[in-house]
Order: sequence, then structure tokens, then C-alpha cells
Amino acid sequence: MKVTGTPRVCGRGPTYSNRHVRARTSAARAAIVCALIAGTLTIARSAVAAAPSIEDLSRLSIEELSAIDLQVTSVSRRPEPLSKAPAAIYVITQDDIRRAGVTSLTEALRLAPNLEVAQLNASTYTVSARGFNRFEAANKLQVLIDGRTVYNPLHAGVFWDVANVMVEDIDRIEVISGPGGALWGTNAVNGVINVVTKGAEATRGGLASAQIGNVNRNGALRYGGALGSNGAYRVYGMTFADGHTVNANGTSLGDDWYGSQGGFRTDWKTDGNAFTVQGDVFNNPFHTGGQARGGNALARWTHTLGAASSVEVQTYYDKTERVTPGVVDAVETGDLQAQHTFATGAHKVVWGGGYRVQTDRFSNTLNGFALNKERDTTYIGNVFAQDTIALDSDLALTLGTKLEHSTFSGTEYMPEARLGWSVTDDDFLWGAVSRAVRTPSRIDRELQFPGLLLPAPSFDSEKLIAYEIGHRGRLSPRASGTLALYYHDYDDLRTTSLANGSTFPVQLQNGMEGSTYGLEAWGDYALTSWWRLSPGLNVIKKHLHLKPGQTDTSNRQAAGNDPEYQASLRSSMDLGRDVEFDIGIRAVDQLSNPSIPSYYSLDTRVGWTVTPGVELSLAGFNLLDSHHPETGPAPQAEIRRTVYVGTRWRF
Amino acid sequence: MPAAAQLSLPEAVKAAQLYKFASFVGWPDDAFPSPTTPLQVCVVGNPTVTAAVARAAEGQTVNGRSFAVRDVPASETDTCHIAYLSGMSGADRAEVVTRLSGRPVLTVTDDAHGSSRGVVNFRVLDNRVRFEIDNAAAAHNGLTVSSRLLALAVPR
Repeated sequence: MKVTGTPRVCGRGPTYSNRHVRARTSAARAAIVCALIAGTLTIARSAVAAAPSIEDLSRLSIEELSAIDLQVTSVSRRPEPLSKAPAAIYVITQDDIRRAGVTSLTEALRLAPNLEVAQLNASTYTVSARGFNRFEAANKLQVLIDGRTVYNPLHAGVFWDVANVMVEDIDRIEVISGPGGALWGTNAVNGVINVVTKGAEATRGGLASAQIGNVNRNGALRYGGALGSNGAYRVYGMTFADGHTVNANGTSLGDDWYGSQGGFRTDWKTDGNAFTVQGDVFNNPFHTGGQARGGNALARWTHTLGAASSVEVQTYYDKTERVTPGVVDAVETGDLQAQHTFATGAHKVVWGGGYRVQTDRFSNTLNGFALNKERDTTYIGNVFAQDTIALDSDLALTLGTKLEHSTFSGTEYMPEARLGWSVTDDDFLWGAVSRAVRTPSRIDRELQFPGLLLPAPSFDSEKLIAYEIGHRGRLSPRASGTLALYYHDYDDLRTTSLANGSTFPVQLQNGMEGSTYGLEAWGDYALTSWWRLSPGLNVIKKHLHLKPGQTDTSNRQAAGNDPEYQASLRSSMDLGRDVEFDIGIRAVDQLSNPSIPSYYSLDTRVGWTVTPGVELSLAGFNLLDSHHPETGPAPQAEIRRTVYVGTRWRF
Repeated sequence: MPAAAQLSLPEAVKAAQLYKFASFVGWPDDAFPSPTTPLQVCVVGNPTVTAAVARAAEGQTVNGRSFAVRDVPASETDTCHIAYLSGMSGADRAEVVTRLSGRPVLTVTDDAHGSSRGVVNFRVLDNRVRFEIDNAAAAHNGLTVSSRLLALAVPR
């Protein structure tokens, strides 16, 4: 549950949000997910196996071809008919991001058909997969930026206003819907988002980027160069000013916000070793006084032991705090992870472990909400292993599990089994069964308000058993499609129950259970060599109910507020040699708890490469309405129609 | 499809990029006898890649022209619009690049150095297939290269 100045469980707080960054799993996971894309872990290290067909590659643009990571041996861009990942994974590429004209990470996430992204107000987004999307309930998505977790453990969830990246630095965003506990640990329940930035070698030279519009203004500057003879570095700075949202009458809600961030990254190689060191600092002040600020530093070392074997060690430190008059909210994390990848016979194995120390602080002098202690430190250790076994030349079974122990919430185990079958060259079928958990946060167990809210020391983890199947294939020479079906069985979901059964005070309990099922589908169709269409569809049905005898004064707030369907269609055109023209339409069904009407959104961008170093663009978002609400309690903040002109200048 | 099965990923990516270069390059009018003359894409010394480019370019057109993809020996590259000097030694490559200089041919080389580089030279950097473009050589050959392709190229 996320806490604003006043926790939302018991009433309305200020419109800004408290967000924190917690650091978790290792960047080695990025390599594992990439390996999942290739289907087997060691094949990810060798460029000589299961190449995508030339027809698949010929459907990509020349920018996309230049961006294919040869080590991953997958087309990191849909269509991926030959991708052997036994999971529902969608990859947003830098090309997608540029062509859509999005200027922030959360807006880029709208491009994934298997995510729900809703903007709450000028600074706040809520993002989830397979349901549970609501500011207070979106706690089931694990999100990492270059291996550093941005899931806040104090509040249980991701605060997107402090998870910023310079969008031009993003190489790709891997969006997995469905559980990922065996590799990514606790809280990777409904999905995992892995944001991967480019290596420093790929960002040499200078780049200046600016977008100016009626709502948002952004500027970024980056410079990269060589570091010795086998390394590279980059430094960047960025600043943004995001304009206010409005109420239903179009009157400004005064929630404009702004911030700035800077950082660096260095990569270098010696014989058989690769090193990365990177870091960022940011500061986002609030109109109402105070700011959200923080910084992080990360170092990673990969050592190649042999043809299919390597060791990777990563460590990072992250501190994020939110200070407002009367409330201080801070999380500080130190993390160390290691993993070993190797192959033997028909087995490709990755195993490893990690240790994390996290200190959080919550101090509130505004009102009576408090935790047991203002400051607390938790120690978390984990071990994991995953084995991909080639049962046959076309059939691979992946078994994995992670065991995690926290001094705060105890021990959790997250096993999974996945099967992948290349039925033909053009069809891939996969199935999976997995278990995932969302661990209790300090706020879940300790938040209290005398007379109103009792602490809940025995609040337990929320649990999921997921059953999934999927198909990925080439439907025709010009078309490919991906389909995933899932059935999720949930237990011990959070309720705000009447502690004595019928009267106040209330207490957080695990009083809800049930199931959800749904479908995620997307495809790609090359009408001509210069015009591509990409549809997407996301349908969910939820059957979550209270356990017998349970009450929930929050009216099943933890179940989220989700549209039964989302549909999208993107058109990408190359006009002549230097012009790109993209249009996207999104249709989002109504929400019911609280009630928000359905909406269509039309987004578009025209980009013109004037000279090799200069790109001009004109983009518009939400063009069909002057403003519309997407989520939140009534009266909702409404998101305005946005238009901007932009430029990118390389020097 | 044996040819495709032997194709490595870097080769496949280069094959796909090769015919796409045509969309970003302009040839002088006299490089084509008629408006419907297909664009000649020639590959020297690598039949696997020739087959792959042929499959990738099948059914595609650029400015209304279809593609004609074929294997040629080095001596017959003069009539090509795009000449991919793939399976050649450095000295042979330099000789062909020099001989074709001033002619409307987009010479493409693979990880070449110095004077054996064509107008376009593939290089694998940061695990990606990138390319260098010698814009002066392109102009000398009568070719115009679009800003978008130049923006994507890496510095020589």
C-alpha cells in the first residue's frame, strides 16, 4: 500500500505521492531474460545458433537492424516468430520509443500491449500487468533499471516519478507479463519490466535533445567518448517540466512539477572481462514544499570462463528520499549479487545468489499515522537456480526456483516450470506453471492510527499460482503474431478489515482471494516495405472475492481498477528517405471501482532527419479529447491533449 | 532451406541491410537504361549471402524498381548498382574499390580498413552490425546518400 501524507486506506491525502526506490536484483537478470528470449541460456552467449530468418529481418527498418544485439540471437523487436522464450514477453525498442515520440519512461511503457498504464495526475502514474492497476494496489510488478530495482519496499510498489531515464539512452525495455519469481524474486508477481540502457560505446559523441509543448518541456544533454583503448564513457544531464492536469471543467489543478537528473556510465573490456560502472543523481522539487531526491551507483563485472560459461558479479547502492513539510520518507539500499552460467550435456544452468541490506525511514508529524519504529533495517538473502534441459531438438524444459529470506517477512520460495516447443520453423508453443509472492511491507504490518487502524504484525504475503500457455508464430510471409492465455489463482490478497468483525478500528488482513484469467495478443503486419501495422489486444476477467466471514472497508481496493479490455493499433510509415510518420490509437475500456469512462487516445509523431546531425519532430498525444481521466478516486485529475515540437542534435 | 540454415546472424543482418541501402541512396539517371530496369545487387564470393539477399528483397521495390540479386565475379561488378565485396582478400578488394571509383556503384565491404573500404563498410561494434559511410567517395561515384542513413552510420 502506498502512503501519501495521509494513507489512502483511510482517506484522501495531498495529490503528490510518496515514492521510493529500493534496489533489488542484479543486472545479470537482464542477461537471463535476454537468454530467455533465445530460449536457452548459453546460446545467448554464442552467435551461431537459431538465427532468425532472413524474412523476419527484412521486415525490420534499417535502424532496427542496426540495433540487433548479436549476443542475444533474437530479433529484439517484434515480430519474433523464432524467439524461443517460454514466456509472454514484449520488447519495446529504442526505435519504437523514438518513433512514438515519447519523452518519459512511463509514456514509453504505454507501447507494450501487455501493460496497463494509467496517469493519475501530473507526476503520478500507475502501471501493472494482468490486473491490480490502481495507485494503492499496483504492487505486483517488479521493475529494474540496468539491474537496479526501483520497487519501493516500504510502500510496496513503484513510484514512477523517481524512476526516470533519459529516453535516448534506452536500448530496450523488456516487458514480461506473468510471474518471474524464480529469477527476479519476490514481488515479480504479475510481471517484470527490465529497462536496459545502451552501453557507453554506443553513445559516443554529443547529443542535445529538446521538446517544447503546451504541457511538457524537456531538455537533455549527453556526451560520450573513449576511455583508453578499450572502453567508453558518457555523462548526461536532463531536466523536465511537466504541466498540470485539469478537473472535469478544464480548470488547472496546479499540480505542475519539474525535476532534473544527471549521471554517467562507463564500460570497458579486457581479455575475457567486461566492467560497467554507472550512477545517477536526481532532484524533483514539489510546489508545496520539499522534494524527492536521490542517487545511486552500480558496478558490474562479467568474466567469461569458457565458450558457454561465465560469472557475473554486481553491486549497487541506492538512496531515495521524499521530504515534505511534516513527512520524511526514505529508503537506502546496498545490494550484492553473483551468478554463474554454464552448460553440460543437454543442460544449460544458471545459478547464484545475493544479499541486500535495506534501511527505511518513515516519519510523520502531520497526523496520527505512524509505524512501530521510525527507522528500520532489513536484511534479505536469496539463492536461485534455473536449468534449461533440451529434451529433444525442438523441446526444452526449464525448471527454476528462488529461495529468499528476509529478516522482516521470513522465507519465500518461488518455483517455476516452463516448456517450449518449436512445432515448426514458423510456430512456437510454450506453457508454464509458476508460483510468485508479494511480500508484506513495513507499512502493511506496522501502519497504525490510534483508534482507527491497528498494526497487522501477522499480515502475510500475497500469493499467486499462475498457469500460462502461449503461441508465437509467423502467420504469413508478411505477418507474425503472439498470443498468451493465462489463469491466475490468488490467495491472501490484502483487505482493510474490521478488526473485531463489525466495528472500527480496521486492520490490514489477507482477506481476499480468487482468480483472474485473460488473453494478451499482438502482431505485426508489413503492408509494404515502408508501412507496417501493429495491433495489440489485452482482455482480462477478474473473479476476486472476500474469504468467508471477511470484511473490507476499502471495497476491494487491493483488487485494482482495471479495464476489461485494451486495444491498440500502431501504424509506422517511412515517407521518402528522411521522414518517419507514426500514428497510434488506443482504446481503453471503462473502469468500475471507482467508475471512469472508457476512452480512445490518438497519438502521432512526424520525424524529419534534416541533416545527418539534426532531427526535427512534431508530436501530439491524446488528440481526440481536450482532457480525459484515466484513474484515481473522484474527482479525477484529467490528462490534457498534448502537442510538442522537438529536436535532436548530434555533434 | 539449407542456405538460410547456414547463415549466421551477423551475415543475415548484413544481408537484410544490404538491399535496404537502396532506399536511402540516389543513383544518377544514366545508371539505369530505363525506368523499369531492376536495381542490380551483386555479391562477390558468398553464395549463401546472395541467396539470403535474394529472399529478403523478393517482391520489394524501390522507386518502382524491383531488385535483381546475383553472384558475380569481381571483374563483373561494373554493371552493378550495389556491389557487396564479401568473400575477397584485402588486396583484391582495394583493387575493385579503386577500379569502381567514379562509377555509379555503391561498393559495400565487410570490416575492411584503409583504402580497401567501399563507400559503405560494415563493422560489428558493441555486438551490433553497424556501417561506416564515405560520403565523399559516394559523391565521387555520383551517388547521393540520404541524411537518415548518414545519421545512422558510425564515424570512420
